[in-house]
Amino acid sequence: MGLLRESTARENSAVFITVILSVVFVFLYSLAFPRTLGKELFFVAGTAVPLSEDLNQPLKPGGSFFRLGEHQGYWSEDGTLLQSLPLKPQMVTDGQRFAWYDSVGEQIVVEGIKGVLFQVKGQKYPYWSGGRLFALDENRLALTALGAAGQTLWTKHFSSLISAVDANSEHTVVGTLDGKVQVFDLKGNSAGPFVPGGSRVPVIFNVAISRDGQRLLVLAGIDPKRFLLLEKGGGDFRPVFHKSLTENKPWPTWLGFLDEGQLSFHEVEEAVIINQISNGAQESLLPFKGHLEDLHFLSSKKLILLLTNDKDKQSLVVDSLEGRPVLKVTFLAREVLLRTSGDTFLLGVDQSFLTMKLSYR
Amino acid sequence: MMRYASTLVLFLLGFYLSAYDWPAADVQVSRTFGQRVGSEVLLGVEIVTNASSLIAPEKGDLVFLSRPGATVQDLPSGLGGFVMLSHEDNLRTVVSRILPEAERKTFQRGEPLGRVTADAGQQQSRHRLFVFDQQLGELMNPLLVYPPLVDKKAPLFYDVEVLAENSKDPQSLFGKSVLPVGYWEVMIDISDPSTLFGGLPGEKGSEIQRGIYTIETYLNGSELFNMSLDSLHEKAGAWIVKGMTDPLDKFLLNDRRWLLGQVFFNEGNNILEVVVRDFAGNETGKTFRVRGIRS
Repeated sequence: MGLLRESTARENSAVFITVILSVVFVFLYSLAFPRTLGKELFFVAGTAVPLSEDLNQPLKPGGSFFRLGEHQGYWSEDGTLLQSLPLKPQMVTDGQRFAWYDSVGEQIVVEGIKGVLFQVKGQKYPYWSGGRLFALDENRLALTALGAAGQTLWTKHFSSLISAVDANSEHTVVGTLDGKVQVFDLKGNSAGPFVPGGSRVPVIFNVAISRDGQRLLVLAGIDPKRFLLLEKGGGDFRPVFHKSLTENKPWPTWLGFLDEGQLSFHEVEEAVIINQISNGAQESLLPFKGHLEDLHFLSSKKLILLLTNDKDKQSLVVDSLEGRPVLKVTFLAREVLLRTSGDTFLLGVDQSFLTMKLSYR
Repeated sequence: MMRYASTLVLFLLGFYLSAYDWPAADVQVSRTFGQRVGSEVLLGVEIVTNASSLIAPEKGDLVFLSRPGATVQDLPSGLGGFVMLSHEDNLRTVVSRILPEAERKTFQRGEPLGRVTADAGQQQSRHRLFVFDQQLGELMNPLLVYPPLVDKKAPLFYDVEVLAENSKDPQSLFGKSVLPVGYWEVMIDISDPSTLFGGLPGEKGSEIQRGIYTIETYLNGSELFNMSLDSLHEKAGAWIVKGMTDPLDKFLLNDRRWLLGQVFFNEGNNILEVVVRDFAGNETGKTFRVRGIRS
């Protein structure tokens, strides 16, 4: 027993000396090499407002129109909810304006924060893309491009159903179910269709055009489904990168450009792939569970926000561009809306509306 | 004689076996291919049904599935949710206004595509069916592949009119048989009356108008106008009927009115014949004897 007691006392003394030496080392190291600790990213919750009550205050510039479930409304720049009204028929918004179908006048009505901007007679199905207004026909076989004052720029008929539309300020790219992609300018001129090919069943699932109009992204085909990057060369677009995808979802999946066109993204099975445009082979994988409902890029923080749905369980997932997980919040909801404005983002969940801010502290 | 009869039976049997099935057993066609209502020309057929779900018309690969409220490319239209299938004969069919079933790669003939979506307060649901010829890039008349219509009512002429050059006052040939010699435009007002039933026992049904399938017009035995709505293709932003050069909206002026072209009525007797068929094969013909006189 005596030997045992002596041995334990010796060990305690060794531990004590080690701790003292460590503290002294850290103290001396901090004095010799002082360094500021890195800032950490915080999500700061702002206001939470119920949506159910009708609210119709004067609208201030800088905010955004939104649509959530059976409601539409407007929030101000600082995230204050200024308007919450029952949803109008066929209501769609690009944030700055909204369009809806007036069945009495048989026309599309476009409204901004000061009220009605213009009407488009004889059209019923409005659609915004790239800040521009389009109208589809009853059967998704014709597309009309509208000007800033609602004037018709052009109308195109297609020999198969339209499956995807994307636009920038000057170009409109249209994908159809017969596997063709066409790009139209503001006068409706087109260099002719591009047919991706390479798949057993030709079909276009999604298209995207870069803001400068120099690049196109296409998700096309079944067996295999393919991802293509096209660049403008001469008068038309030519593929510069393509790859087969393992997933075969027969509906439009996520596709687009990020970071001023420096990056592209596309959805695969329970993941988003980010590609460096300059080097198509370099990619990062952002995994998620379930279906991807929305995707936003916070350019100031270089973060990707994913809104996902896994068996009615919604998750807000924040990842770095390299695929490092930053945050994940899970909640139950039927209708969800995610919008970003600078460092503020707004999360609509069924009947309530939550503003959050991102900041480094 | 027996050999011809057996060939005919085999042909009909073959056609029947190769034809697609309607997506429900009780389908009634409410609007036909190429029928104009207001400013819209229907590029498929519109059907009504009491069925709660619709089935695949033929074995095919699933090409595309659209669910209303999708988060990506939720393009608005009157189609609602729809499914496109690709079949072995290079045709693709679209069945609209359904809530598509869980995705699968292929469908066998008769397998459910999805539950129907009905308008509030309506007993029957309304759907549009399209048939695309993938090889020719055309929209095909669905009634060429779906089972034939059951309809005993022939198309009905409301009027046959002629319009003189530099005139705005058309004259009905039903009340006029003498006209000045010269160029005249020929127009017909026609539709195909039919009855839609709601599926309740003993009901009278509601009267509807369907579009017509073919028009043939002859002046003194020479063909003036011959149109058959078999397929439509897009050219320079307009729909062209197969075999025609002018766009459909150049001669289909409104819901019932067709412009058949220009004729020259000579001095003496001119015989103008107009024959119209509906999609069930019922035929109506009118023959007009116009005496041309020097004014």
